[in-house]
Parts: sequence; structure tokens; C-alpha cells
Amino acid sequence: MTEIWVVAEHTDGELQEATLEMLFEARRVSGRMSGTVCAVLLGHNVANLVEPLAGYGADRVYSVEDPLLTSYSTDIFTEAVFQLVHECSPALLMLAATANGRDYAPRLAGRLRSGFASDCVMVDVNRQGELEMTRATHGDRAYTTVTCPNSRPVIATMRPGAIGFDSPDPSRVAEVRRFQPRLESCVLRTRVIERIKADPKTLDLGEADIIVAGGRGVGSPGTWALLEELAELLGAAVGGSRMAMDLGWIPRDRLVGQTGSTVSPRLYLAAGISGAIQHTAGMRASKNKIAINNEREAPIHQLADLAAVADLREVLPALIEAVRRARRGPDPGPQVSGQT
Amino acid sequence: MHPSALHYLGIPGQWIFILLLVLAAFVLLRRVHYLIALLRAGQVEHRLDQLRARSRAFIVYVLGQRRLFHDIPSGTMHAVIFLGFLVLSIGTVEMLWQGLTGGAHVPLLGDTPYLLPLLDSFRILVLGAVVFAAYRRLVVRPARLTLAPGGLIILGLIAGLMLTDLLAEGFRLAGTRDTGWWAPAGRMLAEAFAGIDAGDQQAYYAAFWWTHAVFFLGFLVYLPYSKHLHILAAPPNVFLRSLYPKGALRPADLGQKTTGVASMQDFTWKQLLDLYSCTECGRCQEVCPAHLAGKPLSPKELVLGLRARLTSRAKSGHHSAFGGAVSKEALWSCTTCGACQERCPVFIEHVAKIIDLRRGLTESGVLASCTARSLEALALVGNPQHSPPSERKDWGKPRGRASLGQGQPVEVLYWVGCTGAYDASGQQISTAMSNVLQLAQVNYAILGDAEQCCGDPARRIGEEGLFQQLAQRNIETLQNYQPRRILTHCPHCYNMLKNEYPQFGGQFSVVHHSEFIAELIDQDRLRFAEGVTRRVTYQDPCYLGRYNNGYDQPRQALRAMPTLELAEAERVQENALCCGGGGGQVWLEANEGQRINYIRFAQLQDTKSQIIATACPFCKLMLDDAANYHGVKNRVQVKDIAELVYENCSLR
Repeated sequence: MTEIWVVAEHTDGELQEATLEMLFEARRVSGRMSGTVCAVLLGHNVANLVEPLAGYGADRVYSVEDPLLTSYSTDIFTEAVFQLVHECSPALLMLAATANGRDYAPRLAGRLRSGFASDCVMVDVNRQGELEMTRATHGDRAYTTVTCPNSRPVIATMRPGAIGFDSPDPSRVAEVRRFQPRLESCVLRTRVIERIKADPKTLDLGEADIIVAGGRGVGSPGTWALLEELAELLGAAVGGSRMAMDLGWIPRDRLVGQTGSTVSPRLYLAAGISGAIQHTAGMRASKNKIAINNEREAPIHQLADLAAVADLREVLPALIEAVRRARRGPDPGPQVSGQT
Repeated sequence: MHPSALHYLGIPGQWIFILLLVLAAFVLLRRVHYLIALLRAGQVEHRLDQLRARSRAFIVYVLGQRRLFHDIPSGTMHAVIFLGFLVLSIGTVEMLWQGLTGGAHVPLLGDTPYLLPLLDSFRILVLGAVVFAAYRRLVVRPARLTLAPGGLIILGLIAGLMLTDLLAEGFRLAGTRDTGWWAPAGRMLAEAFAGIDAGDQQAYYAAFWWTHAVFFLGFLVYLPYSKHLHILAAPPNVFLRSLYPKGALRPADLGQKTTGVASMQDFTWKQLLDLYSCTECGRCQEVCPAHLAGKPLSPKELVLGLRARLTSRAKSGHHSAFGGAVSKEALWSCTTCGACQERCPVFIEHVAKIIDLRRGLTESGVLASCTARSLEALALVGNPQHSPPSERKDWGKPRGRASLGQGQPVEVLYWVGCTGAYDASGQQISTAMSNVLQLAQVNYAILGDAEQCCGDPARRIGEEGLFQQLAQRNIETLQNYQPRRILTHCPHCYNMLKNEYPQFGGQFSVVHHSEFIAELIDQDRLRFAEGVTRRVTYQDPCYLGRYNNGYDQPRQALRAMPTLELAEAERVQENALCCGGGGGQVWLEANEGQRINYIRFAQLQDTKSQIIATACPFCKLMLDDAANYHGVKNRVQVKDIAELVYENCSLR
């Protein structure tokens, strides 16, 4: 049976969203060519990830465990996947177009002399039964399709965030096949000494997962402090509109908008921002947008997924309290759950 | 005996004079030759059309010194020295003639008693003007002047010329009685010197005559190396001034190896002549909004930097236009408001040079990142806001604005512009304007998503290629519809369609909404309600006012509304301070200095008006931002005249 492989990426014992998206895509493709969705799980002591991989759509999990795979290194990962591919010969090998995926997918393709399509947004099967990868070009204004009819496997890196995924099905079970690669001969040229987690305060806005942003409507340094407190609690980066910059509340590099950063975090909370196009041009692409502004007509409300016409001085403390409560876990008492 | 007729160490004075004159003339001509050679290395530009208009400009601005009188004291001072220069050149010709001939008078000119009082009084007047000038430079020290030795050397030379001339005359007349009181100053000095021994009188006469001659020749030599080169360069520069529409930039030939200026030779010869003409008076700097806000631009320093670069003998290679002479930051600080060139007494064209230099920068890939993003949006989606073209007509959806079908005859085609289409604040203008059109029963249509950015931001940022692409697309679209008249509320679009599209074959009849509204009022198609009077002040948009002389129509519209009382702010009309949004500044983010819009807003607020009216979506954006910043948004409203007209319309 044709195998469609998804190389799983995980950090801190959790699968990355990009991997879930690839599983979703692999399921769709396997449906069209009656294939098997296989996840490739590389790491050390990562057996706990088999279950979510199955839940999100893997029929089979190739579990490749080795102490050398504890953290990412170009040489080791390339070698491990290379050996596995050599053994099993899948039809398609999908890697996430993340920093790591972009790093070793081309090496693999070179080593395997296989077809390669980078930064794809879709994989499909065409009329001839060939795999067809779609990639965005020309600043995402046009699409090209790539087929590799004379090559097996085909390697594709998939752009994170381009596909989306469903909620998992906990009843699904995957067959686990263990594979022990021979990595002794492999020269380890790089070594991870330490992993330092980025501080949301200093993290580039473009990379932040959550952004709490303020504008003129925040009103006073006191309220701005509340906004920063909320950001701290959420592990969010603080941004702002040009007005916030002019009022000295944020430095130049925290400016979101046409003349500052363009961001697309998972959550963008706009507090006291009216939503002039100069600002929204920079945050329009955020996945979830919450707006808090006491002016009902503020254009930001039209853009937001959740719009609150309210006074920040009331909302922010309540929000901070709610997040704190949620952090402590559900209340023991009969009161409301800690959901916000 | 005339001093040049005497012998000095056995050498005839005449010979010495000729020798000195030849030397000075040689130095002068060599330098002038060099300066002309530098001009000739520049690009071709034709500036000898419309001779009548040029002559008129020469009379008004050179002979009449019109622009100098914006500053009355210093203008008067300059006019006196300038007139003195003209009048006293009669004396100079006489002096040269006498020196060459050993004392003969110039026929019909020298030794005519009725000329003497004129010459005499101008010597005194010029001397007075020089004293005043020195006082200004050294004591008053206006910010626009740089205290440098050059200016003082010149003043010293002029004072020296006058003094030695007077003293020479005094000693000459002391020995004679023939001219009587025809030369009052000379006669007074002569009376004072009467007691001196006759032989000494002759010696002093000779000494001062020779010093005068040396000062004069020294002046000739120093002149082309100093700011006084303007004596030679400024009059032709005014004559050769630009007579294009003020708002039109020179189109760049995209086939050339460079569309902008990468080295000094990429400027046209006229742009280089501009550099020679600069008198360093700093009037441009005084009115420059960027300079006022503490940004790294002074139009004066820009011109001086370029001049130094041009005349220094350093071989200028690629990119040498900059090389410390002009910083990128200075170039990106310009709002292209045109206040500098409106004020310049010698008609230097600063803005075109800045844009040419920006073109050079853009071409070599040197761009502010935020600008790059807007340019990218222009290229991809045809608007700087990065908004989808399909949403361009969404502002009108709730009101069912009609798009224009081909060949459909309408009174006007309403060109909405990107800000009017996409920006919430701009949409208020386009909505109000379309409401006004409906009230006045104007048969109109819009282009809808067939409209694209007019190209103004691209052109002013220096991306000429992208601009021409946008312009050509729009011209094609417009030509398909063949509108009788195009109406727009954006002065930038207006200037572009009216003055710049003709460069690419797009001849349209374009009207700004201020003009159109004034017409509707004149035709009695709009009437206004009475009510509580509110005070309004008006911000002149640069591209409507300075560039297109649209000072009166918006004021007419405001005055026509009985509920508004117009209070003028400081710096209006030709001298209006830019809102800070022009020349691509809305898309730029300069870090240095204050924000121009905040400064301008404070000036407008000084009128204690409840409403700040303007006729430009950028002015509205910038000033509204400022109102927000100053926290007075609930007290001061910033509105376009179209919004005010609609609100006050009694037909509503």
C-alpha cells in the first residue's frame, strides 16, 4: 500500500501545529489514492506522542528513538530519516517548512535524489494519479503546481498555518513500528548546548504567539501598566499603535502597522486602538482578534472576532483576575469555571 | 593728475593697472570657464521657451526683487545694495576707463555733473546697508543665516569699495572747485581735507584710488569662489526658471541607464545652475516643515552640500552625489511641500532635486523598509494601504453608488482615490462628497475597482518605474471611459491627473472638489442652513494651494456657510505649513525630530477654532492624528470641506 509520511515535529513534549496540519493534509491525500498515513516520530522518550499522532490521523507511527535524537541536529536527523526511507520507500514525505524542516528537507532530497517542492500550501493527486504540490509564488499572489513523475519519494515542505486541522479523534489507534537507525558512523558536527526560551518582551513581534497591543485609548501610564501586566500573565509580547509610540509607551520596534511590524499571531488583543488602516494593515492577518474600545464606532470592532465596547480600566483588571484564576485551575467552589 | 597717469618706481601707472586688470580677469575667467564646463557636463534641459513670460519674471523678480521683500528689512537692504551695484557700475566703468587711458573720461558718461549726486548718494546708501547687514549677521543673527567668514568678507569688500571711493573722491575734489556741490558727500570730505597740503592731497587721492581699484579687482577674483557667484548666476537662473506646471515633476526616461541622480552629472545643467545661484540666505530653511520639526533636512544645506560636491575638484564617481554632501535621512525627511522653492528669491527648484536623488536611492535599492512595503502594495494591489482591489468600492455599497459603464455620459467622473476608498477617515470624505453630489443633483459615477492609485506616493518616493506603470494603466482606463470632467477630493490625485498625466498622453479636464463645490454654490445648486456659529480655521493643502493656486475656492465654500466663521491661522496660503503627510511621508516613519502634524495642529489650534477644515485626505488624517495626540479630539473636529458642506446643507 502507498505510504504517505509526515515527519512529526515536537517541542517540550507537544506536537507542533504544523505537524497536525500535515496529518490533516495527508489524510485528505490518502483518501484520494487509498494510501496509509504514516507519522515519523524522531526523538528520545517520546512514546507519549504516539497517541496524539494517531488521534490526529496517523494509521502507522514509525517510532525512531535514539538518545542522539534528543535535540535537533542537521546531520543526525538527515541520516535517520534517510535510513528509514531507504527501508520503507514511501510515496510522499512531508516535512514542516519550519526552521528545522527547511534545513534538512533539501538535504534529504539531495541524498535520495528525489523530487522536492518547498513551502507548499497544498498537496493533491491529479488525473494521472500523480502527486501534485501547490506552492505560492510572487509574494503569494500566484500559485504554481509541481509534479515529480519520475521520482519516489517526493519530498514536500509544508508552510505552517496554510492548511488548518480538525479536532483529534481519541478513538483512533495507530500501529507502531520501531526502527533503530545506525547512527554511530554519523559525524556529529553540531551540538546543542542549551536551549534558551525567548522572552516575549524581547521577542520580535513577528514571532510572538500572542500580542497585547495598546493605543491612545489606553489613556494613562497607569492603565498601560495594567496592559503590560496582562501581557506578562499571558506570555504575550506588547505592541502598540503609532499613537502609543508617540506617547512614549512603546519603543519604535514595538510598533504594529503599516510603518512598523506586520504580525499574524494566534491572538491579537487591541486595547484602546481605534483601528485606522495604518494600524490594521499590520495586524489584519492575526488568527484571532479581540478589540476593546469604548467607542462603539471604532473601526477596529468591525475587524475583530470578539469586540468589547467597554472601558479598559474596568476590563483589564477583570481580565487579569480571570487569567490568574484560570491559571490556578478550576475553582473548587460552586462558582463559574475559570474560562475567559 | 589722475593716479594712473603717474609713474611708480618709473613704471607708468597705466601699465600697472592694465597688468592687475589682466591678472584679475584671467583668474575670474578661468574660474567661470571651469564652472561653465561643470554645467555643460549636466544633462540636457530646454529652458528657452516662452520668452515673454521669462522676461516678465526677470523684471519682477530680478529688477523688482519681489521675493526678497517677504522679509522687509533685509529685502530693503538687499535692494539698496543691488540698486547701488547697478548705479555704481557707471562709476566702475569710468574707473576702468580712466585706469586704462591714464585719466580720460568715458564719453557721455564720466564727468557729467548730473550723475554725481546719484553716485554719491548710492555710495552712502550702500554703506549704510552694509552696516545694517553686518549688524544683522553679527548681532541679530537670524537662524536662517550661517555665521561664516564668506558673508563678512563680502560685506568688508563692499564697505571697502564704498569708503575708498568716497575718500578718493574727497581728496580729488579737495584740490579743485569744479564740481561744486554736485557730489555732496565728496564735497564735504573735500572741505574737511582742505587743510591738508596739496601734494599730500594728491598722494592720498592716488592711494585711495589704487586701493579702490585693488578692492574692485579683488572682488572680481573672490566673487566666483563665494556665495557672491549669485551676482552672475542668479539673474539668468531667474530668467531660466521652470515654467512647467508647478506640481509636475520631470518624467524620467526609463530607458536611460539611471532614472535618477547617482552622480552630479545626472542632474540637468539647469539644476546645477541652481546650485551656483544660491545666496545662502536661508529663506528656504526658515519655511521648511522638516527643518522646523528638527528633522535632518535643511533645503539650504542640501543646496550648499551639492554645490560643494560639484565644485570640489574631487573626481565624482558613482553615487558621489551623496558622499557626505546629502544624507539619505535628509532626503527621506522632505514632505515635498514646496514651501522652500516658493520662497527662494532666485527660483532654485529644491523638490525636483530631492526627488531625483530619491530616484537614485530607490534605484540602488536604498529604501526605508516601511516605504518598501507600501511600494510593494502599490505594485501588487494598486493601493498603498495593501487593501484588496475588490474592496475599493465597498465604501459606497450601503448607498448604492453607481460604477461607470463604458460610454455612459455623466456630468462628472468622481475619482475617489485610495484614501477615500479604503481609509475610514477618507471614506467619510468620499461619502460626504457623494452625498453632496446627490443633493446638488449632479449626474456622476465612479470607476469602482477599475481605479488604482494615481501613483503620487510612488513618484514622490522616487519609484519612477512603478509610478509610470500605474499612470499608464490609469490613463488607459480613463481614456476608455472618456469622461468629460474628472472630480477628485484629493489634491495629490488632482495634481497628478491634471499636471502629470499629460506627460504620458493623458489629457483630462480635472477639477478639485473645492473648486467644484464653489461652482455648485455659485450656480445655487447648494444652499446652507442657518444655525449656531462655530469658528473654523482652514489648513491649505500643499498640492492644492502652493502647487495649484487653489487658495480661494475652499475659503469661498467655507464662507458660504452661515454657521461657520473663518479664522485664519498663522502661516497660510503660499506660506502654509505642511501637515507633514506629503511626499510619501504618510508611509515613512522618520525617527528624528518632532512630528510636523503636531506642530501644525498647535498653530491651527491657536485660532481657538472648534473645527479645523481642510481639503485633503492626508491633511485630515495627519491633523486628526494630532488632535488625538493632544487629547482634544472631543473639542476640535478635523473635517474635510465636503463633510462640512454636507452637514450644513439645507437641502438635506
